[in-house]
Amino acid sequence: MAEEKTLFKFPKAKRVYEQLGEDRLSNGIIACPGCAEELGLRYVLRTLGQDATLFGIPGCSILMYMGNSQGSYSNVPWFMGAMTNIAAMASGYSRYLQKTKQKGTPIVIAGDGSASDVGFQSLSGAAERGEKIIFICLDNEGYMNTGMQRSSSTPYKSWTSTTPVGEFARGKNKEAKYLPLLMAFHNIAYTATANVGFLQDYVQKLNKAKEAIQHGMAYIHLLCPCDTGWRYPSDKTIDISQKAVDTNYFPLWEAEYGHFRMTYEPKKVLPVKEYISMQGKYRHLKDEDLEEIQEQTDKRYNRIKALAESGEKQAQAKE
Amino acid sequence: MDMVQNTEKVEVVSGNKSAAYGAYVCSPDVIGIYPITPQTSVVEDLTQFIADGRLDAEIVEAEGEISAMASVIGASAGGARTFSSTSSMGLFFMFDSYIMAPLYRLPIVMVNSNRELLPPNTVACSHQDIMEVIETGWIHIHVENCQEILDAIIMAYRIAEDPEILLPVDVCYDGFYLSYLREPVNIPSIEAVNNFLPTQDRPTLGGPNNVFSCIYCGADQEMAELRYRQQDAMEKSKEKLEQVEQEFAQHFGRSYGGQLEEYRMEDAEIALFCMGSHAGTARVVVDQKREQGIKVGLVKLRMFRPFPQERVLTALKNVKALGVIDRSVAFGWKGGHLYRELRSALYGHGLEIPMADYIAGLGGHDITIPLIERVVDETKGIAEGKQYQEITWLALE
Repeated sequence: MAEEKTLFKFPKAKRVYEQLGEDRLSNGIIACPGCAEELGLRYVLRTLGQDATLFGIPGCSILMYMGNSQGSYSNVPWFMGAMTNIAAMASGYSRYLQKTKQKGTPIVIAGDGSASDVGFQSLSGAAERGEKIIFICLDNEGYMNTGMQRSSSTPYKSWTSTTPVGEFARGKNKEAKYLPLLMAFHNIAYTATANVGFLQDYVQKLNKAKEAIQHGMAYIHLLCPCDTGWRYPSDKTIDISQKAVDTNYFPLWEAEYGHFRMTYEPKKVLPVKEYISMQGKYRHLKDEDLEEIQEQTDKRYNRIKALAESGEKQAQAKE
Repeated sequence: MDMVQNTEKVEVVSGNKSAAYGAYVCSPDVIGIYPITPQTSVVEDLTQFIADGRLDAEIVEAEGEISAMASVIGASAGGARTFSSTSSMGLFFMFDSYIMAPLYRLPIVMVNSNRELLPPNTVACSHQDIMEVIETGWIHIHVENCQEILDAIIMAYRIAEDPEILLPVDVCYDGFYLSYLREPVNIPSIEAVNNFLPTQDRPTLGGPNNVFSCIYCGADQEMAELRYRQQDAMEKSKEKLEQVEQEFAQHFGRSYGGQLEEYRMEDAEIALFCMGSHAGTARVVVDQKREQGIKVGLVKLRMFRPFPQERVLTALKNVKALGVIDRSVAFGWKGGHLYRELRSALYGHGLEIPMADYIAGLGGHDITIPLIERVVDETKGIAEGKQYQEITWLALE
C-alpha cells in the first residue's frame, strides 16, 4: 500500500487507548449482551464525546443510550428525530453553530433502516449540500429493534422475519444496497467503512471524520453484527466482525472527496463461507447460494479495490 | 394613529414577497425551505435577500419539505430563530417533521400558502391543506391581505418565543388570491422590529455546553403532564395574541382584532362568519347590505388553532342567525371545518344560534359578491324563521 497522503490529518497513536477520552455511557445499559452497537457508540463518545451533540432515532440505539423514564444513560446532549429526517435535523443544528460561531460536533447515530431506506432522501440531501455533520450508520442489516425485518441493507439470501424461509422462498432474493459507496459518490468530504473488530482503524476514522467536518460531511458505515437478529452466540461478535473483513465481505476503506483508499487488507483472504456459516440467519443456505454470495463478495471487493487503485495512480501521476 | 409608523418604505409586493419580508425583518438565524406552488417565490425572495447580502442567515435549501422542517427543528432546538414555508402536498410531505415541532415546544414560525390537494391535479386555492393538520399543536393564524401576512409573521415570533407559550406558529394565507396578489405593503425597519421583538434570551433545548437528553417517556404520568402543559400553553396563546396585537399597534400603528375581527357587529342581527382572503369580499357585501337596511355584520376568524371560543361567544351573543362560509370539506362529516368548530364552540354553551354552512371556493372557485349576497339573504331568511338547508355547496347550486 502506498504511503498515506491524506487531506485530513489526525494524530496517529500506536495503541487505540492512547487516543481515548472518558467513557460517557453508563454501565448496565439495556443492550443485549454482545451488542456491537453498544461498543461502537462507546467508542464514538470516547473519541468525539467532548463537544458532541448526538442526534438519534427510534431504534435500539435510542433505548440503549438515551435512557428510559428513570434517566439518561449518557452525559452528552441528545436529540431524537424521526427516522425520515434525522440528517436534516442535525444539519439545521450544525448551521446554527456555524452562524453563531459555536464549537460543537453534531453526530447522527442511525441504523441502516433509516440511512438506506426511509431516511435516505434526507441523508442524500445533506450530503449534497455538504452539511458539516458526522453521520454514523450502524448497519445491522435489518430493522432489528422491531424484530429483525428486512431493510435494503439486508444481504442476499439472509433470513429475516419478512424475508422468511419456506417452500417458495429462501430469504431475501435481492442483494443489499451498498450504501457507503453511494455516499462516497456524493463526493462528500469523508466516507469510511468501519467495524468493531478493528477498533484502531475505527477510532482513527472517527478522528478523521471530526477533522473532515470542518470542510463538509463525514459518513461512517459501521458494521454492527447483531447476535439476537443474526442468530449467533453473544461471545462471537468480535469474531464475526473480523471474519467479515478477512473474507472481504466487508472491506475497510475510506474516501476523501471521492478519493478512495483501502485502510486494511487481510494477509490471507478466507472464503466467505467462514463468515456466513457463523450465523443462524443463513442456516438454510445451500452450496449454490454460497457460490453466489462468494461471487457477489468478490465483485464488491474488486470494485472498491479498483477505485482505490485508480486513486493511487492519480496521486502518483500528479507527483 | 399613524398608519405608517415605523415604516422604512412602502413597496408594492406579492403576498409571497410580503412573507419573505416578514421573515427578513425578524432576522432569522436559520431558514429551511423547499419550493412548491403557490409558495415558490418565498424561497426565491429569501435566497435573493441572502445573495444580496441583505439577510445574514443560514439557508438550508432542502431536498424536500420533510428536511426543510427538520432542519429548522434542529436549529431551533439549538436556540436559533427559524423560518420555513410550504403549501399543500409539501405540508403533508413535511408532516413527519411538522408534528415534532410542537411536541418539542419549539418556537418555529412558518407560512403556509393555502392550496388544494391532489388529485385531481390542481394548484389552486382552498383551505383543504391546512385543515388537515389543525390538531397537530401548531398555532394557526389566517390572514386577509398582504400587509397582514407581514404583520402576522412579526407577531407570530413574539407569541412563539414567549416563555409561557413556546409553540410553533403557522401563518396561513390563501394561495394565488394573496400569494401572487400585489399590494402596497408597509415594510418596517429592522431596528423597529428589533425593538418590538427582542432577540436575546431565546430558550434552547441543548447545545455543546448544555447537556440535554430527551428521555424516553414511558406510560407513566410524565406523558400526560407533557401533553397537559402543551394544551395549557395553547390556551394561553389566545390571550397572548391579544396582548401582542396591542403592543404591535403601539409600535406600528396597525391592528387586526386579535383572535378575530368583528366588522359592523355592534347592532348586527345576522352575521357572516369566514376566514381568509374572501373576508375582504364579505366586507363589501356587508356594506352593501347595510345600505339596503339589513343589519348584517361579519366575523373574520384569524386564529383557527387554538379556537377562540370565548371571543366567538361574545361576538355572536346577539345574533339571530349565522351564515358560515367554508373553504374546505371535513370528509366524513357533512359540512366544512369552520361550521363544525362553530357548532362545538356555541352549542351547549348557551348560544344555539341557527346557522347554515356554505361550502365555497374549492379549487380556486371565486367566492364572488353575488355568492356572498346569497348567503346573507338566506341567513336573513333563517333569522325570520324560514326553512333552510343546513349544508349548501355553492358551486353546485
